[in-house]
Amino acid sequence: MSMRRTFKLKVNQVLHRPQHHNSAAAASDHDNPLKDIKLAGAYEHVYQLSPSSEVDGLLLPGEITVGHAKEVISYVLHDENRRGTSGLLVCTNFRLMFVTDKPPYCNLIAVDNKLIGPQDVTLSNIETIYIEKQNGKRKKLYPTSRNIKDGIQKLEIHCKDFRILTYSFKLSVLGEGKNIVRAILHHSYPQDSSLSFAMEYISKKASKETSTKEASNISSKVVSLYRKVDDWEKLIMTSQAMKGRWRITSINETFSLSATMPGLFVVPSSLSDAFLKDAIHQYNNNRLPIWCYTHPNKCSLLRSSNFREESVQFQVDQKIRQEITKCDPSGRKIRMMDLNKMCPTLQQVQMSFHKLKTSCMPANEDEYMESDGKWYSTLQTIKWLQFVSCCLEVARTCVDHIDSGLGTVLLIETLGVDWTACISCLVQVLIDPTKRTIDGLSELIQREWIIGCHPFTTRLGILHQPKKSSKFQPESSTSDHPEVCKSPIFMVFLDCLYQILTQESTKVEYTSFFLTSLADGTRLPVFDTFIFNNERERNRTLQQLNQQRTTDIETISIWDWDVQYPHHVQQLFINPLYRCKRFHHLVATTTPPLGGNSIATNDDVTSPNTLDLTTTPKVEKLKSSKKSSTHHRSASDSTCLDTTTSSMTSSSTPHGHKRINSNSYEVPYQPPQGRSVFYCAGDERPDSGRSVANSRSSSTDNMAAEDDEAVVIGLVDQVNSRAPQVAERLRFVPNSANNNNDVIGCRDDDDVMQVKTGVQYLRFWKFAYLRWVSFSQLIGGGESPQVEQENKMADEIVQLASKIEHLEAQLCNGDTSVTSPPPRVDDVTVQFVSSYFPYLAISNKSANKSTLGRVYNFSRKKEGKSTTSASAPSPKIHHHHHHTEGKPPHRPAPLSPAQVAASSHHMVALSEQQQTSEGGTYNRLSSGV
Amino acid sequence: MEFSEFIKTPKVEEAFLEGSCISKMIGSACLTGHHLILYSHSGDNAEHWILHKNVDAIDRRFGNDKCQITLKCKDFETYCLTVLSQEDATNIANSIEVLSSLDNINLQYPFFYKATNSLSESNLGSIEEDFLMISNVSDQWRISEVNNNFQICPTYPQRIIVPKSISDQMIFKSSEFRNLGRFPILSYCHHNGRVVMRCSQPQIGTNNRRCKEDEKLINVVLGSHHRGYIMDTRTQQIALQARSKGGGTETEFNYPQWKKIHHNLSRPSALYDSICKLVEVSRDKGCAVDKWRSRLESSNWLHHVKEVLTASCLVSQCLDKEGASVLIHCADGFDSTLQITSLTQIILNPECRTLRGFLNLVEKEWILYGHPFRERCARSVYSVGKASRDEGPTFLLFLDCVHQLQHQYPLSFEFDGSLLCQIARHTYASQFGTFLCNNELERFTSRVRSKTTSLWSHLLSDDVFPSYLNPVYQPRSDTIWPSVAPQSLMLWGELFTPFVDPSAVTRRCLRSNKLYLHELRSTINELSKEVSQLEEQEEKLKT
Repeated sequence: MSMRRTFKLKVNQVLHRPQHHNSAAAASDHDNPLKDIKLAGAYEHVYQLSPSSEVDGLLLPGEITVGHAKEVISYVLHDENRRGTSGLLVCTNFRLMFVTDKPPYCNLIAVDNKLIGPQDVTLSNIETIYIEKQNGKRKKLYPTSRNIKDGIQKLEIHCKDFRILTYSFKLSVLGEGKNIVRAILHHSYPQDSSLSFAMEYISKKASKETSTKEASNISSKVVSLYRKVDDWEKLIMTSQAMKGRWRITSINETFSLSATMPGLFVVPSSLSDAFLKDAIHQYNNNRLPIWCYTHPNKCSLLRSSNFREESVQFQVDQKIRQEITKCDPSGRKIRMMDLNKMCPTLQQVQMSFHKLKTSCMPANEDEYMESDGKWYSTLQTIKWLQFVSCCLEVARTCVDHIDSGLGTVLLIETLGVDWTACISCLVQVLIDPTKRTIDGLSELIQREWIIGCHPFTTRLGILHQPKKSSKFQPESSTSDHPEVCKSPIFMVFLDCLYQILTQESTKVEYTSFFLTSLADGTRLPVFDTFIFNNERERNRTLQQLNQQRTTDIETISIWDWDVQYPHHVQQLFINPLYRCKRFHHLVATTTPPLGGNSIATNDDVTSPNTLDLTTTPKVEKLKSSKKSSTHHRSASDSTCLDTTTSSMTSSSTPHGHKRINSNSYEVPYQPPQGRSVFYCAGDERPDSGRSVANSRSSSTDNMAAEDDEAVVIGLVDQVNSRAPQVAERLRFVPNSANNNNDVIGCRDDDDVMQVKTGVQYLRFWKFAYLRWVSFSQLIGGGESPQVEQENKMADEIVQLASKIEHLEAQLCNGDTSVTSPPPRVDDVTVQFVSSYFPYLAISNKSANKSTLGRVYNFSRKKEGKSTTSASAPSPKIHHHHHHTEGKPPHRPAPLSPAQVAASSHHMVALSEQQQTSEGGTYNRLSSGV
Repeated sequence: MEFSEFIKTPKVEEAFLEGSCISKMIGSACLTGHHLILYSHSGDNAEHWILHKNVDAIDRRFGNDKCQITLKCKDFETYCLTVLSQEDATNIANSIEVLSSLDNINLQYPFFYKATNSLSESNLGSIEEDFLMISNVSDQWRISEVNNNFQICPTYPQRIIVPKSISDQMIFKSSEFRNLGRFPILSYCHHNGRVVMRCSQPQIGTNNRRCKEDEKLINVVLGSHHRGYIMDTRTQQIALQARSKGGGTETEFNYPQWKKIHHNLSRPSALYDSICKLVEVSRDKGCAVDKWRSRLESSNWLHHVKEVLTASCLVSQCLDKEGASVLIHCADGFDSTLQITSLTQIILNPECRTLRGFLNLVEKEWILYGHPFRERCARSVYSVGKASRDEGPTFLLFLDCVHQLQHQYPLSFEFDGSLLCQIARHTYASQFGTFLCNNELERFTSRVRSKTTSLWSHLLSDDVFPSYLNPVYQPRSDTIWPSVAPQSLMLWGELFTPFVDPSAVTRRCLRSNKLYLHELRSTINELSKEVSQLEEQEEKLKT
């Protein structure tokens, strides 16, 4: 909803903008909100700038231009008639930027990204570069290519995120094309991560901002980075099951023992540092078994690399296992899971991903449709989904083992940095509800992947390795050795998370957009998160950088989403169903029964009615809750006002999004998502532990966070003192206590997730892999609009609830003249939400075409056949065929004069064919009769 | 009661029932004229009823200590009944076999079923309502009684809408020219006045017959300047071959205002083969991970879905974008023709995406205009070899296409997928009379409409329809253009692979999303109710 509000604001901005900037565009386009956003955004200040200086305002700190070409035509993605926009193409040390004063014909990304514009591409996103000469010869460029001559007609860039960008230099001055291609080539394949743009960025940014330090930067501090002992302590102290059995060790703090181990990690308490220092070298890649997770039933999950085969000191391994077994008081046997055998190899994954990429990057619509007939068998030969299924299956096996209390699981893998990270994360997501929130998941990824030293640089191919992979086909690369192998394990992991999301969308907080943002984040070298192979590399690089400076520079982590997205975009991370579920938790049932807690047993017991999901019982409960004790009443009334006022002020914030702080916490905790209103009473959000801890004395800190139940106790306590009225009112607390609490609803979130791993239940992640293929999207259909609608419902509930609060308060006071009810937000609906929203926001004009495109398949085929009997249509008309709107077979409809005018307004007329008058077989045929 | 002669063992005290969609039951099995009923002994009073009509095939596996009867049902479920005595098992199996294939229409269960609470007449498919809608767009139509007593076409209803300027005599002539008397008749009138008409193939034959009245009948729809398309759902070659059997396809010479399109859609028998393979794959739990998708592809079912959607899209484009009327026919005009006419309406007409509108569409297109349900749905996927050539899941394919649309446009439909599943199951076996018989004449003769309860009345009754509503329904007034790319088409999981994992937990999780949205919707309703109450109170205070 705030998203929509923002639209309105922005639209207004656009309308109030001085008309001389681009009056025609503003006038003709304000029926298209998405376009207006773009106008109001990055492009606004470009309009009146001269070519030389126009770029400067757009550059990030530390970014420098290294080449440019004027009058370049940027083609619309997958557009059959090669429409495009002319503008300035700039290559910087960070990205390839396309700057134009013309409104973009088609927006690639509908949301504001503070770092890159919708038509920009970062250099680390560039996978392959093709050039086309005047003679039409297409040539692939390699990082080593030197001999680039004049006369480049076209530049085609294939991105790692499956996008294809095409530029033409036919209007630009001779030589400019060559220059910029050289610049791109030179800067796109760095060989050392210390050359990464992130280093430039953070050092320049720091020096710029020391004077104007932003005070409001809280959200980034929410996610623990696990580089300090405190973060780890919080983690292991909060669990009763771990107490005294596990400890944090800092033997590798300087990374002198192992390059691929974290600086801090958790091991059984009984193992001494001295022993570990010896033992560490007995393992492959110098990775000891380290702790990942402990279930309340005291079974744990650990990961390690293989024990060295050549090692003779078997007793070391045995001793470690023994001690791990001792960490489980019941002494259950450890189960070793050899992921080398259970998961596909790195090369297999890379091959599969390469094939996936090929089949999801059709050069044009024809190619896309040609694959129609064999899509399912293609999908099968790609094997991607089989691998995803396999990972989920392995994770499920672990989950079953741990959850049923069969004992501790130790994940083993040759290097211990790939599948172990993936599986251990998945297991924790499936087993532990606190890991299913955005913050919980972020911390998990930070801990298992980043601190766990997954070699991102190598696996994602961020750095160019000159000797081994001068050619880009993974097949031909000789770098099959796992240490240097390129392999998108992280993508497999994200795909697994997506499958979990599709199957159990009420139980996870993240959305598809969050996952793709993570994937894109790996190609955005502004953050220190994904640009190193391990922690030691990161440390050394930063040390070098700091040596030249007086003050230490601060790195930016991807979890600091504020750097990248404005708040309203971050809201798209939150799955509305989860949000509602959390809320509903309070509405329909209540918190689970807590043994020995008087408050809980009085208030938080569900009547059997809650089983019945129909309307009536709830209404009754609603009524009964009104008569709840005065203690509640008064306490909650005060907070009610807070809620209402905060919601009122929130709607008038300049960002236009809701900024309701959850009142149960005194800390100025602001979830980056801004939709915090539900996270209140009885909510076991993982950060709740933190927040509670902050607001209370440190002695209760650990207590409150000891385990889930304790958190709830702490929170229930808080509910009584200052719960937000909204939540309190909706608790539907029946007066008759002591009824059985059923499984449905309340214990739901604590359940271990039952994911179906069979390949027939997995979905192809269209949103990630096909999001740039314009003709495969649905306008107004697909998942995105549904999420939008669910969001609307969630917002409606909040609004109604606060309205009731308000009215009741008025009635209680008997004062009818006080403040007006909270203002209702106008619904400004987004017109062109497509299935890939917020990617590939196609303007209105092309909307129908892209969806109808599929039918052309038929008509063209048909036409091809029928031409044998009827008079053959000219190739021109055949070509024309593709871009006219809503055309039935045999009869290409002409562009209306208005359409022609409108399109030629934005577009460089590239082909006279577009405007050929329309003949067509039909007319000829009928005139003959 | 004549059923008793088929039932040798009416009751077995100790029996076990297992099924793919139920948890294991232990209890006594009873056999009645229409059902196999299992009463649970476990104290929860659970019972499970299986309609004999639903049983497609029976497998007997008799051992020394126990005898298993596997009932393979037409809704793709399978049950396994275990009894101890071989005699009982044989008797039960034989009885079910006989009772499940009784042909006499008057012995069908719908004639015995009495709805517990009296259901009001649904009044769907009413010609007056239809006519009223059309009158808003065009005044060129009238209601005709020419088919009174089904004298010119048994597969059309008695009262029909025909062009005003065409006399009943001309319609009579036209019906003589068309196969089975199915002359061109209005199916849908778009808001721009263009229409979709359907008929059967013209009986041109080898000596190139023509019928002036038929030409006039369809030309008058176009008006003077417009042009139209004739879509034949057979290939050109097959359509021309049909002439040797007295059929054929319109010649461009005799129908100059019309442009021919041939779009090949499969015949019911081909669909039957396809669905048999599909169910075999989807119910095969042990299928190898790396075989599944290619087996799915080779079943060809999703290809059929794609073709039907493409054809419907094409017709919709002709109507909406091109402003041309369309005449659709196959050979008989009651299989693929109906798929296209009804899907076109769903794509173009938002009214058909409401619950009532959709049921009305099914009644109007499929029931009234003679889709032969009795022949097409007599057998299902488990009786390969026994099924006749008339067997074919034409209607099921249509429902699957609707499911695809629903999946692609989750906000645009007032009803949800479970409604489609329900309807699909009722087409094969039901307590309601809606899908009995082949056409209106048969229903009229057996007095189906007066003696049985209608499925529509049940679905639209106050306590039933809310559970089929789509909680995120957002009416939209425009067309929904489906994507027919294979990447966008989904296997209909709810029907073909439901709850394969029988553990109760999983089942709850599967349902939770939808249930959950329903809860949200009702929470919203409650809250707004309360708001209005409070506002009233406040008003009172003020005055």
